[in-house]
Amino acid sequence: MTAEQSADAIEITVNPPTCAGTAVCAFYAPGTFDLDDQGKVQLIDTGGDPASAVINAAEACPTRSIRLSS
Amino acid sequence: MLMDGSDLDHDLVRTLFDIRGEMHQSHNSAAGYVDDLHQALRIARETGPVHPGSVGEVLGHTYHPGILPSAENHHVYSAFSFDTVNDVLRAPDTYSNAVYDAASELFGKNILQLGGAEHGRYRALVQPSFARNMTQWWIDRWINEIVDTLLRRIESQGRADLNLELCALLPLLTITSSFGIGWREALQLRELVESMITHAPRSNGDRLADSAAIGAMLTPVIESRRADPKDDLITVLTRETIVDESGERQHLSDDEILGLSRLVLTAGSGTTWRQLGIVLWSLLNHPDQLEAVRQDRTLVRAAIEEAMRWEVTDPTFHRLAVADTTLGGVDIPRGSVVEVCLAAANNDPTRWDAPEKYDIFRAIRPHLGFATGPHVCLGMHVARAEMTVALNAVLDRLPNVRWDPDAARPVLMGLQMRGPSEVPVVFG
Repeated sequence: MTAEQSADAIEITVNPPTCAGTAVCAFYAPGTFDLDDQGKVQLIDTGGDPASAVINAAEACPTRSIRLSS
Repeated sequence: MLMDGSDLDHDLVRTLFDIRGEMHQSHNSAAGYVDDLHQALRIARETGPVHPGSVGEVLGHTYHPGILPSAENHHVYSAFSFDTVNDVLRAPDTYSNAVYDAASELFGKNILQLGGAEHGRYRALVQPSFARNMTQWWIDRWINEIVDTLLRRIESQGRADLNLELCALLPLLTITSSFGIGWREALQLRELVESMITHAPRSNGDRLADSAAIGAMLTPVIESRRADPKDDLITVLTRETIVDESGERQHLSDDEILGLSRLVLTAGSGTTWRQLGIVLWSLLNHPDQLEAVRQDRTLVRAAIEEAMRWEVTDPTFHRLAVADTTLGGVDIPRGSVVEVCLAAANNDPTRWDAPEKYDIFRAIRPHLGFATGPHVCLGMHVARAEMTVALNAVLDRLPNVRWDPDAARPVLMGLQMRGPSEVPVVFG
C-alpha cells in the first residue's frame, strides 16, 4: 500500500462491536468512515478518501476496530 | 449572559494563567523546566526505550508528584518510543487506569480512573456530546462568540499577549458556558481547579474542600436543568441514563454528573489553553509557515496536528501494571507504575523523518498527542474545533501578526504541563 494508491484498492473491514465510538477514524478519513445511530463505526464509501487517509484511520483507531488488506 | 469581557478580573487571569507566576512555579520544579526537551528525550529513547524511574528522574529532575502516582509506593518505569507508548495505551487489561484512583477521590467517580465495561458505559454517556458531529454545536453555541468577544477587546490595540488574552480564556469559557456558568464564576472555578490539583503540598482535606466548592457552584445548575432543560451540556447529562450492575436503567445522580463535570472542567480548561499557545508559538517561530497558513487555510489542520505532534502540552500519562509483563525488553513487575512519554513517542525518528523540526508540510500520520486506546482524549474534537476557530480568527483579524520586537522571545516551559511563557505579538 502506498499513499498514492486509491483507497479502492484496499479491502476495508470494520468491527462495530469493539468500536468505542471515538470517531478518530472520521477525523482522518471523513469520506470513508462515520458513526451510525448507535455511535459505532460504519463504512460510508470505500473510495471516499486517499489510501493514505484510510491507512491513518485504521492505524489510529484506539480499539483496532478497522482492518485493512490489499 | 453579558459577553463583552468587562466582568473579567484581569489580575486574576494573570495569576491563573501566567505560567511564570507564583501559582505555577511555587513548589514545582517541573513547571520551571526550560531545558532542551527534544534532546533529553532523544537520549532517553536511544538509551532505552524503557527506563526504570519516572520521566522526570530519567531526565535528571525531581519534583513533587502532586496528586499523581508517587514513586514512594511503587516501582516506576518510563517508556520513550512510539511503539512502547502505543502498546501500553492500547493494552488496558495489562496497563490499568486504576493508577488514577487517588485523583478520582477528588473529582468523584469519573472516566479517567474507571476501567473495562464500566468505563465503556460511562464514557458512552458523555461521548455523544463531544463527538465529531457535535463540533458545529460547540462552535455555533459558544466557540465563535467567545473568540469574537476576546479578539474584539484587543484588535484595536496593535499588541497583545495572546496567551492571557485568548489562549487561556477560550477553553475555560467554552466549557463553563456549556455548563451555563458566567465569565466571572468561570475564573472562580478555574481557581478552585488549580488548588484542587496543585503540585504544591496541600492536604487532601483541603483538596476535597476545593472539590466540594466546585460542586456547590455546579449543583444549582444541575437542579435548574432538571426542572428547566436548556440546550447545554449539563442538560444532556441530566437526561442520560445508564444501565447499572443489576440491569436497571438509571439516570445519572448529581454526584455522577459532578464527577464527570469536574473532570471535563479540569481537562478542558487546562490542556487546550496551553496547546493553542503552542500552536501559535510554533507558527510565530516559523514565519514562512505562518504566511503559508495565512494564505491557504486548508493548512490550518496540518499546523495544529503538527504542533500537537511536535510539542504536546501534556507530555506524560501513567498506567498501573496489573500483571507481570515485559516492555521494550524490560521486565515490569505487577504493581509497577508505567509513565508513558507521549512527547518522546511523537518525536520518534523511526516514525517521522527529522522529527524535531516543526514542518506543517510533512505528510500527516497519527500522533499520540491525544493519547490512544479506550481512554483517548474525550475532548479531542472540541479541542481541535477551538484551536481551528481561534487560529483562523487570529489570521483574519490581527493583520500580519508577528512576535512583538520589544518583548523577549518566549520559551516553552514545563515538564508535566507544557506551554509558552507568553505569546507577545504585534499586528497591523
